[in-house]
Amino acid sequence: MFFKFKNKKLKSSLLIAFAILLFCIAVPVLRKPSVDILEYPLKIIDFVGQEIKALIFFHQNFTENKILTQQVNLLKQKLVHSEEIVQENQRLRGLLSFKQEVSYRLVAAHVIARDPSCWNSVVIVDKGSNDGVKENAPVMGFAGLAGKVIESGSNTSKIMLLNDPGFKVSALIQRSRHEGLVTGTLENRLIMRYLLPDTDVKIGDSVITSGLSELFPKGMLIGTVLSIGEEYAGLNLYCVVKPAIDPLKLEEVMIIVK
Amino acid sequence: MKPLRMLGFKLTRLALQIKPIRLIQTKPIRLSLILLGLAIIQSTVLNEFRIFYAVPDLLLIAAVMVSFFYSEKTAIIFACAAGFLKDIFSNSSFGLNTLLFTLICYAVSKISKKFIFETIPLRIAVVVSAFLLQNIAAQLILSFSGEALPLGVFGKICLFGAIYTACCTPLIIKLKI
Repeated sequence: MFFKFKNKKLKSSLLIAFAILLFCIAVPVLRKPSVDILEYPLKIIDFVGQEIKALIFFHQNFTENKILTQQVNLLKQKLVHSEEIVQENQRLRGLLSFKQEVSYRLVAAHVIARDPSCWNSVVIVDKGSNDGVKENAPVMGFAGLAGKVIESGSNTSKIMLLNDPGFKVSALIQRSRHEGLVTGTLENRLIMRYLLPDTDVKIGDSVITSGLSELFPKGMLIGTVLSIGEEYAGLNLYCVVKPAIDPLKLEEVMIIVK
Repeated sequence: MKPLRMLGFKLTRLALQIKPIRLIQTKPIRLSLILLGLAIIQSTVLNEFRIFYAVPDLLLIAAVMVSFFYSEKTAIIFACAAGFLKDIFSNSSFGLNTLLFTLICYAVSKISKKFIFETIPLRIAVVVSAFLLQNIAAQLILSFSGEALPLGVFGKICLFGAIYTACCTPLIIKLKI
């Protein structure tokens, strides 16, 4: 031993402090197996919660179902029309010998838990590496981009939602094709930064992924522009974007696995 | 009716003699069950009751309460476990909550030996102070990793989180940890 402690209490206190520090460093390693262990209690609680919610909001769900059924019928008609356009597009692409885009394989997952702290927007879903989910895989909600996988256990995965402050994605204004960087604000709003001062952007414009990074495919809907402002230094514009999905009410997601 | 009541009484007495029930009554098992229950509630059900994106920190309240009523050793172990349970659901690069919970509960444990916190408002005040301290420290550490929140958003969530936590503290006190 290099050090000899005469005070036994000090020695034990230092040992405990050292053990706690080691434990803190080891937490990321222990995280995956721990979440996998807690998978079933979380699923049970989530199931009970969903059932109670369904009972409480029965009337609201009933009327919503009626409206949604009407919308589905309308969308079915539109889908038939768009199928025609897709086929026409494929024929024309073939004529122009464009590189065909790869179709994606999706895995549907159910949100079973959320980050208990207020400072991250992270959810845990019930699909993991056994279902082909890998780290950094893009995640979609039914209306648009939802986030990315940050951790993948054997049966569960952790997803960073797009309103997390650590989430960043290269994006385009769909109408004018101007680029910017979309980041989360923790609330139900996103910020699109680094837009040039002469950028053609209007309130209500759609914001989509640019496909510049390999992580997210091009053309995934992020949200719509709510307001436009000038950065503090006056060099760039920024716009506040309303995400296409509601990160707080997200219950099901689709993970792109291939 | 009387024989039925007698049967019920006998069955209850028999059930109380069964070992698992006695086992649950022991301190470590009871504390572990409370801890696990609170962690699961906080990461599932409680998210439906967010107010201005803020949620009460049930694990922190429980850890502070344990620091009041139990020995320093128990308080540190409980705080460490509570922080760990919070960490496994979040995405911090190391055991941020484990470290902060342990430090805060160690401090509370030391302070509660010198001062008496017998009334509920005083205990709520300690819990709120611990909540604010933990969040400010967490935010400072996050800002070093470039993930700092705008000050307005941080202040709003911190304020509502503190009020919400204060409102939930009497409920955890009623658990008689």
